[in-house]
Amino acid sequence: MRRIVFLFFLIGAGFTACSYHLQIKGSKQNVDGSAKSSVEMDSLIAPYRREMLKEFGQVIGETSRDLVTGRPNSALGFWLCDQLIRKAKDSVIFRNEPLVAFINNGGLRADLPMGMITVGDIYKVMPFDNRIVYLKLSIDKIPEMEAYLKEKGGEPIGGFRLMKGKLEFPNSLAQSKKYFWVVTSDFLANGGDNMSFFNNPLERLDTNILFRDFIIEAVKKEKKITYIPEERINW
Amino acid sequence: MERRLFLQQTGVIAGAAIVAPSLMSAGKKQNKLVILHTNDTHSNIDPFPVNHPKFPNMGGVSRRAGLIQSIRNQEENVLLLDAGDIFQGTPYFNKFKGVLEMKTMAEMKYDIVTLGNHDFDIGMEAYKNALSHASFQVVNANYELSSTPLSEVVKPYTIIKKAGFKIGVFGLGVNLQGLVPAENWKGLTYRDPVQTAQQQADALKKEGCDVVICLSHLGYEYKTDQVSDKVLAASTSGIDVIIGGHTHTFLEDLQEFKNQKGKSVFVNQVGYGGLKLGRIDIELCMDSGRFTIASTNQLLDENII
Repeated sequence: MRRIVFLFFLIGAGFTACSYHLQIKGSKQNVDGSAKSSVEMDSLIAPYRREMLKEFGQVIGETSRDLVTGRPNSALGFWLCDQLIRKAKDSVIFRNEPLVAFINNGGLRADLPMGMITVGDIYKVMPFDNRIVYLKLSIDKIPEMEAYLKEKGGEPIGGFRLMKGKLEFPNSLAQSKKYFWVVTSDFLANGGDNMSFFNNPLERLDTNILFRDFIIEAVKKEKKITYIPEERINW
Repeated sequence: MERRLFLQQTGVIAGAAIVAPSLMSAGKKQNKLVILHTNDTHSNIDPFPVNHPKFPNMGGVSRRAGLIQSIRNQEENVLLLDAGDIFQGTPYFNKFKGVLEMKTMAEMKYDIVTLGNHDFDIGMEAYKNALSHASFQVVNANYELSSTPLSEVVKPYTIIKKAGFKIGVFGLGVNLQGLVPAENWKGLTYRDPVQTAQQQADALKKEGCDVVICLSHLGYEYKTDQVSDKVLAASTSGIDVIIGGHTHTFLEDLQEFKNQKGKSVFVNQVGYGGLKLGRIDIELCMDSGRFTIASTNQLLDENII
């Protein structure tokens, strides 16, 4: 009825104005078990899923608790950083050198739930083809790193801790040498996430090791991950 | 959770011919538009695992398809949108290079999507190739793409007529510097999103759009001065709804902000991974019997809120 009046006015009187408004209403729905799945979609996906599982379904280990991403402290990130350092320390290059790990929470794309871990799970954690890089940095970069960690609210680190906003090395090696090594990803070393303290390192060692392959090997090696979450970052 | 919000909106122009011409042709159909939307689905084809610490057994494309279909069965005018980062996150992407994501979205009949930074992860040619399996439109207005493989397939905006509305949808992307390896976006020039948004909104209003939607992959908010959906909402005018992504923000509700001219803009974002489906209903409401002249209408509009 109202509409008819509306149209009448519009047609009947060129100088008449009308008034209306848009009513905008929001709602959300969880996509969970209460939603009925689609038969058509299931049959579209099925052959892809079979092929995917053939390659990525293999169980490579397990974890005794959830390894989750997050800020400031991330169990998954810290575990991974510790693994990166452990591997580097196997090499004579770094055995007697001050070495830390510094990666990004944003680059760890999924949590590792408690229980069995498959190759596919690691692809979810690290879908990118990032490679491991070692950077030799002047000790003068520390304040920049501290400021970055503060601004970001924490990132996965290992080999040192951020206590009350200050980075603390476990010993005085870095102080006496005036430099330290950082193990990170090529993505970050190349300017990703604007970690400008990685610019112009004293030295840079690139590797061909994919982060993802490294994580897969680390899980296989540990078989059962028993990492205990700790507070490594606070202000 | 649901709440009703009123958007003060146009309707103040004297003269029938220029009063939202598309609305006049609506006939007897009710003007109700249902926008369904996702963002940052990140190749999540299967539901999250049952032992997932945060979202056990949630999400999954098949359920999303079922849910969308059940809404389509009830609603005549559905617009299905995605705010970018369709790619990257599960082995499906590493293995099939985005083809399955596009096929499933085509099956769900997505209408329009925008580009996220991760949609560049395996290069623009690969995106274009995956997109050839879909039929929806891709919009982005602040990436200058003319000398890239995406020049033909991505448009700044598109206009769709639905539910008697003329709906303008444009896209905005985040600065790829520092997010995507440079070789993956070679030839792309980044333009200021706020300035671009204003140009788009003005152009779409000029085209007679009743509703202007921004599909944004800028992110909801930042502690820094980086442009976000909140900044965009406050520093432009003419946009009605911003459907966002990038920051994986689970908004409890549609968020209401005031634009540069004091009018309402609504911002929404539904986390990531296809865990939630956003829904925005837009209805045209006549203000009964209050047909007055332009100057009075202005006051009336302010009282509606």
